[in-house]
Formats: sequence, C-alpha cells, structure tokens
Amino acid sequence: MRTNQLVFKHTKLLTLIFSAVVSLALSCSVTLIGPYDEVTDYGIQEVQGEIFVVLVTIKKNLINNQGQDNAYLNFKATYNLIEGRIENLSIRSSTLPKYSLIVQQLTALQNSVEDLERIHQIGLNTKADTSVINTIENAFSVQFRSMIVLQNGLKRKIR
Amino acid sequence: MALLDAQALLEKMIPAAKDSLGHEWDMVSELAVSSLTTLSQNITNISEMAAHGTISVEKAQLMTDMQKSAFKTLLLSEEGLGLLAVEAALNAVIKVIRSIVNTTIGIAIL
Repeated sequence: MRTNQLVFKHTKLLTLIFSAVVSLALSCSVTLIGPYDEVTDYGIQEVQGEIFVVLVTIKKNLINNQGQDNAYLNFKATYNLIEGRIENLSIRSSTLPKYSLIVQQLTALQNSVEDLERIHQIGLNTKADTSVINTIENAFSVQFRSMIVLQNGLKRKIR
Repeated sequence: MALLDAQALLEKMIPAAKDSLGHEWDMVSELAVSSLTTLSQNITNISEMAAHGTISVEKAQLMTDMQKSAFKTLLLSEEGLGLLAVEAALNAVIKVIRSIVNTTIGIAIL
C-alpha cells in the first residue's frame, strides 16, 4: 500500500517536471527587457550632442570673458528643442514592450535638463561658474554613459 | 560648515551600491565604481562651493538634484544589465533542453 503511494507520488512528480520542461522549451525564449530600438538609441545620442554643445558654449564664453553671451534668452530655443526631443523619445519608448527602465531613464534625463535650465536662468555668467559647469558636465557624462551602456547591452542581445 | 571628504563619501557609497546590487555587482562594478567616484567628487565640489558662498543655496540644491538623477540613471542601467544577464542565462538553458529533448526523441519536436 505504502509502496504504491510512493510510486504514484514519484510518477506525479516526474510528470510535473517533464511538463514544466516542455512548457519552458515550447515558450521559445524568455524576454525580461524590451528589444533594442535604433530610434531610441540614436535619439539619446542626439540629445547628448545637443546638451554638450550648450555646456561647451557656456564654458567657452566664461573662459573668454564673454559671460554676457550666456544670457538665458540666447539659449531658450535650444532648451525647448532638447526638452521636446526627450519628451518625444519618452512617448515613443512608453509604447514599446518592457521598456519601463528606459522610460525612467529618459524622465531622469528630462529632470536634469530642467535643473540645468533653472541654473541657467539664475545665471551662468561669472568666471566662478566655470566650476559649476564642470560639475554639471561630469553629472551628464555619468548619466549618458549609463544610458549608452544599457543601449549597447540591448544591441548585443540582437546579435 | 564642515567640508565633505570625497574619498570618505565614496567609501560609503560603494558598499551601499554593492549590497543593493548583490550578485550583479561583479558584472557592473567597473561602470558603477567610475560613476560613483565622479558623483562623490561632484557632491564634494558642490558642498565646498556652497560653503564658500560661490554658489547660492538654490543653485546647490539644483546641482545636487542633477547628481541624484545621474545616480538613478546609473542604477536603472545596472538593473537593465542584470535583466539582460538573467534573460541570456534562461534562454541558454532553454536551448540546451530543446537540444536534449530533440536528440533523445530523434525528431525536432521542440
């Protein structure tokens, strides 16, 4: 009686394991994070280029004693363009499956650009602001490097 | 106002990141260490500028907020790289199962 029960339990367990293995194999492949998207990747690189042009321009004006050229109004259109581009990328990414990490990264990037814009509105026109710009440049470098590393990881996935 | 020590700050940031990332740390440590070094130096610079009155409190707060956003982006990338690693491992296992089952049965049923 006890032997029969043991054999029954054993068979049931083996059937369960076999079913799990077959189901797993039939599912073809597992996807935990969305696939590489070229438009998002290039979009991030484009935004990176535009932000660094702003930062380099501000820094050069400070170094050349042309701080007055850093007036916020001279850069307002560029900020609108950059923020619009990030918003556009966020909307696109939010429609892609399993892309929430990238959407969150774009939100963090938008916050950084808004912070930079607010700092610029306060003023970036004295020689001492060169250190401010250097610190901001370093933060953006970390931010973009992190985003590009993830994009490269996604790119490797499709190879 | 006491000034921050970037190295001391970094020595506290790295173990905290290491603990939260667990076994994924080895995979992402290079990016994490270089980024945390930059961010800890930045935070130290901001606190020094604020302490010396070179920048206003509002500017200091906005600059600190930017470091937080950069740090958040770094953690999100590390999470994504972790998911990619798990995904690759699972798919490698599935591939092996498929190969064994098909070979054992003699026909490609999977």
